[in-house]
Amino acid sequence: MNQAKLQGEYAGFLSRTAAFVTDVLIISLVVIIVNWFVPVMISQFSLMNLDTCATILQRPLQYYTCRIIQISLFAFTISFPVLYTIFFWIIAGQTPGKYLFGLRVVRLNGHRMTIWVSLLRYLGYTLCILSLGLGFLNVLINDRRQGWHDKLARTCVVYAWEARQNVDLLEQVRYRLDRKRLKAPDQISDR
Amino acid sequence: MDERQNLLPTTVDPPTESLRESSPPEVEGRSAGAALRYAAFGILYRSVKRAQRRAGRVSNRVDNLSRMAAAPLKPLANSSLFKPIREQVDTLAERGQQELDRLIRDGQIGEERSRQISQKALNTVVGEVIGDISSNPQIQVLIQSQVEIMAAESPSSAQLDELVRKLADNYIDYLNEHPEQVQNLIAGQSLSLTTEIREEINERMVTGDSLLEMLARRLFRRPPREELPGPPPEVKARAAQVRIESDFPILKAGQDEPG
Repeated sequence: MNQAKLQGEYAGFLSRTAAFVTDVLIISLVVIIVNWFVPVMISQFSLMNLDTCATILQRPLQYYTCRIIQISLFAFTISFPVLYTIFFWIIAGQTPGKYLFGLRVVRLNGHRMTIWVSLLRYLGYTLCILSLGLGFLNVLINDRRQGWHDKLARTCVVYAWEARQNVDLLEQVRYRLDRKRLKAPDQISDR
Repeated sequence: MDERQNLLPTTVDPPTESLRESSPPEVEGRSAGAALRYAAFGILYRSVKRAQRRAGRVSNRVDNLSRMAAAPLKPLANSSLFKPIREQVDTLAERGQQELDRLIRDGQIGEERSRQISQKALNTVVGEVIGDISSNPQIQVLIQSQVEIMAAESPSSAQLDELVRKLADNYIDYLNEHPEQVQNLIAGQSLSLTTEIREEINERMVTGDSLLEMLARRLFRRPPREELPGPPPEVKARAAQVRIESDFPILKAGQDEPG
């Protein structure tokens, strides 16, 4: 297998999608566990059911406690993905998912990731999701393999490991595609 | 046994030159009959050698003479007058050659036969000797005594068992006292396997990246990735490590100051 090392080159769509899916799975797992574990523990120790806070209106203290816990859980569910992502981007330039697939988020000017840049990038994520993934698909055709979120935050994603690829396979595919393209005009002229 | 006796040579070859030089005959102290026999052999051997030498000389002279006579007699010999005589000589020579060929063939067959007979005799002798040795009670006693001596010198099965048990106990004690080494070994193996699997998956992902992009860029008629410039050096430097020198400008300035 003929291989070339690609460390520092722009990372492609498939690796980034895999890393993103891994992060989503990790976040979902943590959120689900916390949302299941906390109510169970509270119902065990305080005999209070978080799902039915409205039924204990006659006891104001318990009611407010119940409401605060509900809001906290909701806030955790909303904020955890943001905190998780931004925290890892700032300290390592890579979330656990990106670490697994050997990717790193880097600013185009080579400076460190800051909170502001990370927040902008996360906002870009939201835009990409709202556009039904079109912003992510931009990675496939952009010269720097940037999605909309990367454009917004002026970042890019690169291979952090000594990435290798199967050059032979790529050459074969390229050759077949070229042959098909060269054949097409002949077929038209034959007709 | 009788067959083997028949196969034994009835005549003795004369001693070779080297043998004669290395071991001179000692006639002193032997019987007169033996001395006479040796002398007869000596005379016979010397006569044969002389006869061979003389025959060689005669043959050389005849060759020289015939060579000298051949040149002047050649026109005469080739003439039609001598043709019947020439034919007779040729016929005689041909017959002589045939006789010689037959003798050579017989000699070859005889040599092969004699070799087979001697091989058979040797096999028979070896078989009988081995049979004799295996059934000889004295040999049995000798082997038995040797085995007893070796058995007395080597440790017994119980002693060996004890030794193995002791060694195994030592190993187990050592592993109990230093479990971290075994754990490190196992952990290292697992880690390397995990890393290998991860790298394999990542490699396929990178290939997939390039394939997908190639198709997409062709579809949108964009130039291929190979024709585009790579990332700037500062980005590449950041890819290898999350903290680079430019992150610590104050420290760097302090290091640059002299003194």
